[in-house]
Amino acid sequence: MVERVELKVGLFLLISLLLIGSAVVYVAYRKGVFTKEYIFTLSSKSGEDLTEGMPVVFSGFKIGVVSQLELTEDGSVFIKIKIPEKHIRWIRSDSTFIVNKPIIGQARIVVVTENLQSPLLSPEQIPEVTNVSDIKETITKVQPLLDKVTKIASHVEKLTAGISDPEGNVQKSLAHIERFTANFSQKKTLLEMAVSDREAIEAVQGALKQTKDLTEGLENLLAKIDKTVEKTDAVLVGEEGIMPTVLSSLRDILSKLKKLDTTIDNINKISTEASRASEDLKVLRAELDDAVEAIGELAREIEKKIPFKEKPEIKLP
Amino acid sequence: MKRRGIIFIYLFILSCSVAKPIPDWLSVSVSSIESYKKYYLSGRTEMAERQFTRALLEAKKTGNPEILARLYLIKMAVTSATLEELETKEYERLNALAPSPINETYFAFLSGNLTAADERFLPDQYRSFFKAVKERKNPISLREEIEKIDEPLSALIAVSVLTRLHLEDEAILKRAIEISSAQGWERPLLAYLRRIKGYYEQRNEGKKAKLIEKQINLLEQ
Repeated sequence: MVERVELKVGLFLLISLLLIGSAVVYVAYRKGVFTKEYIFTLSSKSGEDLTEGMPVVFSGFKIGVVSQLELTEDGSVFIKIKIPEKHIRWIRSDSTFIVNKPIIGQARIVVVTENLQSPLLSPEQIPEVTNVSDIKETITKVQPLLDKVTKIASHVEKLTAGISDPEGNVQKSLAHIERFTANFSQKKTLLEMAVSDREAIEAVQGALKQTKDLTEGLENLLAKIDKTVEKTDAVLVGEEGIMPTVLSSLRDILSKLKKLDTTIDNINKISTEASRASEDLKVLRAELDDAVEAIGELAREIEKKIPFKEKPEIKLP
Repeated sequence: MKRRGIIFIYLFILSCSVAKPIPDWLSVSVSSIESYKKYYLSGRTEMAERQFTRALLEAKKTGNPEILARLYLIKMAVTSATLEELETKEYERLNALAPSPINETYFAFLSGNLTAADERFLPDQYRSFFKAVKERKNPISLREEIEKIDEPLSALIAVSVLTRLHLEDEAILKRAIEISSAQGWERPLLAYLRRIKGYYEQRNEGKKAKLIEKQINLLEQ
């Protein structure tokens, strides 16, 4: 009788242990304890906003965690991320990693992968993460450049107005030059006279309008970066994201400013005979060159921060 | 010693694997050479030259003669598309420093020296056209091959190769005029109008030649 009771208790304990064991194994299985995990290394210029255990997300889903942070000899930071086997397909050689710190909630690393056909990221490859604050900092640089463009364009406009004023100095200086007389009577502005078409004037007006639009738009964009809690890849680098928008506007302004090149050169040629105006024009020329160079530089900087941009190539036509 | 070796291998792997940003010289050079093409074809020589010099100065920073030779080849291709004589001096000087089968094949192709061109090294868009020219196919097939080339500049380059080999006909020249006109490329448009005018004059088709002359006058006004 005693033996039967002992047997029953034994069985009860055994079954209970088995059930507890299976539950633990099941929970562990569900938590991915038995899943093979891959470790990838990312690099960052600074460890700001980075913490161990920070989630790695793709399309809003958590696909891994930051397992370790290491300070390297050169002061940069290596970020080891642990990705379970079932999620490594999202991590491709051309994926981009963005450190995203929302105002509310935990910072995370957002993985942006456009081409899922690209080869998987090799463990030896160490891509650099982009920081959202870098993006904001870059966009902030646009503002002073826009001021510069506005200044240049207004100088050109002022000059244009000056030449159309019959009592103006430039007009007086040029008045004796016979070869321009015909032009003066037919054309409305110096720009038109200098290039003999309206393209340059349209470029000035276009640059002015574009700068004005971008200046207004920029404030909204910066506010968007600050306020958007979900700084998803679409908001930042998507087709109509912040970075491509700014980049395309800058490119537009740049092309319009480049059109002014010929105009300013032509005005300079004319102005050798109108000595009073020539000094101003030299300054204007230098300002234009500066602005073109600076905007070009900034556009390149933004371009580098946009993922999936094809590497340019000097191709034979 | 062993430790140094490990560090060296580690650094080597690291230098090979870190994703590199696009170098400034490359993006400036590419955008300048693109602007060069655009300005040259639209007849704005001064602007085009400025852009070409900029592309060259940026590429010079690499100290790589092959890249510089390629830029001169692009310049040659653009001038070839406008039926101008090829200025080969700079290209030849640079190519002698770093011979490249890609550059050499392209140069041979541009010059109309097809026997010296290796099809494998030609840009994809010309392969089928190249085969057709080499096999001396009839003008209709050649015209079809030109129509297959999507890129307008490449199509003009292909026509220019045919003119170098005296394989052009009225329809091929008309195609070149059509492309230049559609793109608003004044320089090649004038070049091909003059060529087709000469073509008509040779065949005593005075009426057609006069009509073309009127078009040329309209453009030159």
